[in-house]
Amino acid sequence: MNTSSLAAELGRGLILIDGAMGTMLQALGLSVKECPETWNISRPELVKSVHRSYLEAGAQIIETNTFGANQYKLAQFGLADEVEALNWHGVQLARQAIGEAGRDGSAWVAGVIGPLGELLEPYGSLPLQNAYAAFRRQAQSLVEAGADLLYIQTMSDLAEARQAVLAARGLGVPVWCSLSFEAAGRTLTGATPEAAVISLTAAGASVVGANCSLGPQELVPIIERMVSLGLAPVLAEPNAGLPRLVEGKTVFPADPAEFAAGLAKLHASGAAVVGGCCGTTPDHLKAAAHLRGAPVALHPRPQGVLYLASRTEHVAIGANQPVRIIGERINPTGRKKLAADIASGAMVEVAREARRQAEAGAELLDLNVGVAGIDQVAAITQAVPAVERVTGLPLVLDSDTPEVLQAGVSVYQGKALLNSVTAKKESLVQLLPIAKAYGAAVIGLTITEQGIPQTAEERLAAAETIVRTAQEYGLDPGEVIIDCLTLTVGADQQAARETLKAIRLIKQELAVPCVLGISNISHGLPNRVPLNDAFLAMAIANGLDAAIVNPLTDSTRATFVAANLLAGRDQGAARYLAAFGGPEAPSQAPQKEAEPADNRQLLAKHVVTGDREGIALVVEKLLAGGMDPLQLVTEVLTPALEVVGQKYELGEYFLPNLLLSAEAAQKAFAVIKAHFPADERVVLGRALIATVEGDIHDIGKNIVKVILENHGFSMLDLGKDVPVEKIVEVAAAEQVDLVLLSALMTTTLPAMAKTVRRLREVVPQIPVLVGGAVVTAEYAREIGADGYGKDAVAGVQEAKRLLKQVRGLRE
Amino acid sequence: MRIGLDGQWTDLEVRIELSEALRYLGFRARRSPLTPEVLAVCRQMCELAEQLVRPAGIGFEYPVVCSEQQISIGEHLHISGARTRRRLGRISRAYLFAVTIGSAVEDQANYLFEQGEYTKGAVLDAIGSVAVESLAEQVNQALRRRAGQLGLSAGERISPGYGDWPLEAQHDLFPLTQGERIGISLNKSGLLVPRKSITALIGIDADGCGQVENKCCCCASVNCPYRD
Repeated sequence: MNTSSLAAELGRGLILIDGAMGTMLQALGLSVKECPETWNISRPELVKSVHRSYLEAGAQIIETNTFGANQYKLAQFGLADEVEALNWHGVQLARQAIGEAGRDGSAWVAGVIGPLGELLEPYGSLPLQNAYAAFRRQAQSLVEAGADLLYIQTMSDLAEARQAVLAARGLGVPVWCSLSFEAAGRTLTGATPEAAVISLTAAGASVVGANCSLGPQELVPIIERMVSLGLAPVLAEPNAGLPRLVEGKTVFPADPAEFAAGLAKLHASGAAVVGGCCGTTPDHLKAAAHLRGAPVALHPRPQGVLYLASRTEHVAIGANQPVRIIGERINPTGRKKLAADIASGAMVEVAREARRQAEAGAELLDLNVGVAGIDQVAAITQAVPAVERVTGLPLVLDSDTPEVLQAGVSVYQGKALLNSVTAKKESLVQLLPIAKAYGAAVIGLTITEQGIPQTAEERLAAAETIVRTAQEYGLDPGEVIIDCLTLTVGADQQAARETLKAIRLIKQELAVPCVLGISNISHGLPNRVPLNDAFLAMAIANGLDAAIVNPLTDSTRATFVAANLLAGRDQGAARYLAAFGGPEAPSQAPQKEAEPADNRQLLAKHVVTGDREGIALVVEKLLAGGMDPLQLVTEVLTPALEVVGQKYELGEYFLPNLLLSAEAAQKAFAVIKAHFPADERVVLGRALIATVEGDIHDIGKNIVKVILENHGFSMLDLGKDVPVEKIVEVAAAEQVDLVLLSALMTTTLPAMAKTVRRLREVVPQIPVLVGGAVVTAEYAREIGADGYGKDAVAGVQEAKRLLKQVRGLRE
Repeated sequence: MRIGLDGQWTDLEVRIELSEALRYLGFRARRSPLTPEVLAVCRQMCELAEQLVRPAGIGFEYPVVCSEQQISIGEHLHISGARTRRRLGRISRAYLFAVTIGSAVEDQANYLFEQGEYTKGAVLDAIGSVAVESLAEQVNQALRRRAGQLGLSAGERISPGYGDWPLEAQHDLFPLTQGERIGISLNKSGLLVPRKSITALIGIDADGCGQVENKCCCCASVNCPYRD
């Protein structure tokens, strides 16, 4: 409608967008159980009055009361069929308020789209295409009703935000998108501000930003990071300070003056649009009205830099950036095991390669599923999420089949790099629309209809064709990186010189970044690694920005670090010193593959990642090297298990991860025991464990037993459905240090109480620790137990505490 | 009018939702990465479970007497908890049933545990729970479909231990399901053997039956790892 005047306004200076709707409606009587959007129909005057008061306070953009008007949120109120009506009325009310205020042409309606309230695959159950469809439906309703722009907001999952932007674009109005961040500077699902800006602008958002969750002060560093990329104007809508709970009610502490001062800081940090979220009122906005139209500092997009992002992280390639390492190992060519893994769809090896390369220092991962004779479209749709689950590194999707690339990019939850297009017309016509549609960047191979050009000049011409055609398809030159092609030096000794010259020429003439696959240089020659490394160093000297290599090769990684420093791409030599400056510098002895500095670290890593394979060998090596078994347990295994426990408590691990680690640790203990069968020093204490009488559930009890064993307890397991007297008898006869009881059902709690009572009478000196699904800390106290564990990890800590107590008393 | 589904169920089919098994194992999407190793174990155990399950079900429809204080089914089964009564509403009949997947899954899970295969054991156990839940859900859905065809209405199943219906009620409910005919028995604590078995009640009425809130909300197992 008046979209062009809005764009002009954005160029003129700071824009003031309105404040909270939800908390305002609640103040007007909306119950928290009510669907706020129904007020668009049932209480239109009240909704309009909120719009009016924000307009009077100076808002230039007002946000429709449609935050939850998507089919999923509305379904919770039985209103899934009302998407169109509620959005339509929402826009009408805002439009009427502007008309009544006499502000037509100087105020705009932002059609608000909020999260769906369901988590996307692979973590949640909502398929990407369903999310897309729901967003599309709401976006269309808002635009048909006359919204001037679509404003997607308060997103905590970048993947969901990306689907919303993809769905909202192409409807003829600008798409703005803001996420909500936590104080640590990431969204709930882990995205950084940079990853958000990169992914969302690539998907088609013209303004990006942060809203909700935090107060103005806390948003400042996040806004600064967003602005610094220079990709789009940045919006900030903080809450009225960090919410506090006062007498059971949420209170937002910032008063209007304090809030306005905060908005001024956000403006100074480079925000181009400011307003308020939860807890703000027209008074808050009014206090900031003087900021309207204030000049906004411009951060132009740096030339020659390509940005990529995963669901959580980002990477910049090009001018003034270190030369980036792209891991090449997820490629089944000549690798039977990996090929079989890809063909089977298991993707276990794929994920393992991803993790290993990430740990070795790769900054991006190339992903190629080119196994002959399989359905590669299906394979890449399985491989992409498998890799995303284990690493946040941005992906380079690698295939010579456009359908495979399209399938990969459609399931990828970030901004990917497509490997690759050529300067051939067919390739450009097929791939560039895909890149544009999904918000991806492309690698352009300097191959023409005639094949690989001999000279550097011809390759420059090919690169020009690619960059120019990409622009015609709406892709900025910053979305293209050129591969000047590595030819085998064994076949043509002038080949490397021509490639290096092409890099120089292309960087000079086109100011786009360059990438090379390195290893082809040494194809067919002996002793390949030094040749690869030398070529890499020379290419970096000629301006290379990223290289596809095997990051597990030590010397190759070292070449990156050294050449980055020499090429002036390592500020303050920080990366060099980080790699070689410390006392733990890697040895100079040639190693084939990256490994943790010593076997202790390797053992700890096996435990933490739950990798059973090879763990026995590492323990054998450590023992053969003269390590004392007690030291091995206390200095390596126990700390590693504690890391696992922490991860479990933080929710980073769930039960299967905990158990995989337990299995790995038990393998290590088994080796120690085989060598030192009589060594009792590693035993912390002896404990009896049982599921109480009448209860037949023992999986939980078994888990606790295993975890305690790993922490040095010698466990006496009486099994399930154990009579009270038997537990008492064995505890007394064996004089154990601790008794653990489990009950899973309410009907068996009395048996637990009875067992504790009898233990108290007969063996009062032995502490009792209880747990199980229905057992609470309160109940444990009530029946006189000494300790309570809500899960296996908490149980270990509690057991150790009780043991210390007992020992303290005895000494 | 009777629903007419009395006796043994012959066409029950186990359906295993992997995401549901992951939830049982405490998987929290936002924070726990689902690694391919874990996923591979899950898939493998799903396949194993499919080999091991022996689905069976049996159920009977009974008249219900509602008074101010309680809902009575037969001579012994009386439901007096206010929440459960409210949830059931004023029903005129009830379908009481039992389903099981047999004991092979839990036996195998225990065996795996004894072998030091803790991850597989725990995952298989969770899959067993999902499998037996799927059977109960099928009975519930079939009953609702049939009720709909007859112009009646059938509610959501509830089991002893839900809300304020005590687990002890199992002793009175179980005989009415005739669950022993499909190999289920009851121990003295009111627990079903095999463990991967469910007994439940579905209210039937001419009008709408009480809708169920989130099943986990009203459960006494506040510390349950499976809690939503």
